[in-house]
Amino acid sequence: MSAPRIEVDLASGVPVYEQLRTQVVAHVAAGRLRPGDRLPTIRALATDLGVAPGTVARAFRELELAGVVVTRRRTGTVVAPDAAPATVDAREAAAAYVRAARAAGLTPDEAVDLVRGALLT
Amino acid sequence: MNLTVLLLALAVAALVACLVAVVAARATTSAVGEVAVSPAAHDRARRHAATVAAVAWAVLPAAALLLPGAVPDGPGAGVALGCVPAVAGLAFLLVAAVGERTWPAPRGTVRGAALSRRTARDVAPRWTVVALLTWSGLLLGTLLATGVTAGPDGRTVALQPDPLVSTAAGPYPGAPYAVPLAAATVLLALATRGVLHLVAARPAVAGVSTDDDALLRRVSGARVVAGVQLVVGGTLAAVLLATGRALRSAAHATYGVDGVQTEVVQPVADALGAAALVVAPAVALTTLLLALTALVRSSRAAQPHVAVRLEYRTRG
Repeated sequence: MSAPRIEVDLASGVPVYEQLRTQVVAHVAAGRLRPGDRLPTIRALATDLGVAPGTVARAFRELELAGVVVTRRRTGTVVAPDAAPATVDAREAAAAYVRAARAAGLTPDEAVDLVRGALLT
Repeated sequence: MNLTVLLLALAVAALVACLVAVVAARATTSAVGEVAVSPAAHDRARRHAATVAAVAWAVLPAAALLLPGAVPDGPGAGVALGCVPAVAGLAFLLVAAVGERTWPAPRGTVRGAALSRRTARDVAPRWTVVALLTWSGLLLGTLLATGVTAGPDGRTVALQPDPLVSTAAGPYPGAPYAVPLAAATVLLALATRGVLHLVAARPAVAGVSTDDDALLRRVSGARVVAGVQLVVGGTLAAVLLATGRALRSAAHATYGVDGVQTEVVQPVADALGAAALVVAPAVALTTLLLALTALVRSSRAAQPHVAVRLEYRTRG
């Protein structure tokens, strides 16, 4: 089976790191990337795409914060063991919610209260 | 330097370059497979790979033929001559490495890449690596054996076929030859791994599919490993030849007592020497055939995939 591909559009208004992040998430959510699959190194992916290594590093960092990938010293960046397709979308939504809550100036307790309220509906 | 050797080296280099270029660029089609995203982009990448291979393969015989003429006479000349194939191999790898650094960077606003990790192991066909490791292992083993069994001077093998007779014959690859040759072999292996790493790390070819990009890398890797296994296999053949000749020479002795000539033979050394003399040309022939096979196979594999086009004609 061919490896999943990603494509970035440098002319797009969406930052390149965000394009990378969303496409990796989509591949994991669709099951094309499975837990334990090894992603290319930051340098290799940056070379293939002709972008700065820092751009790829930022995408990988965001993915790691969202729990989609983990970085280990010996194996590099791999899809997280618990990044099952069913949970990836929820994790992504949670991460997006936290960003929105912080941007709105909510405290952590207020943000959690909103989630609890939403769960009661 | 002898003008004849220079002209011969240039002629051989040009011939090899032409052969590699012709074989690499031969316009036959392979089995139908995935259609290249852009046949023009695939063709450009194939030509680039063929050019790099042609230059590297021209440097290899040129260096092997020209370097012996540059070795000054003296006690170290034999060792230097023994290392000529390895130096030619390193020159070959240097050209290949420079070639790998000349692949064009991605252009355009839309760029793609595969989300899989590539390593040096992925870009070299397994059988070429097995051949290289086999020759390297046999060469290091042979050098270890000859280094241990050489005489005190390290350049001859001393035997005693008979209690009354001692013999010595050379050149024999003892420690003065074995240590630099073994070091050169290890250096070649490390340099090969470095070049394969460059092949794996070069930018993806824009406009071709992931499978075709991987195939182009394997073609480059096969050509690199094929050249190095030729160098190591050739060195092994030369070492076996020198060892066999020295052993057979030292195993036989003739002496005369009261006018009676007696010929004595050390059977083990004689058998080992004979075996080495038989194996040496077999190794040389095999390594040459493997190199040619790798070049031909890689040129076929690099051909662009074609789509089956059905043409429908209506009778007017």
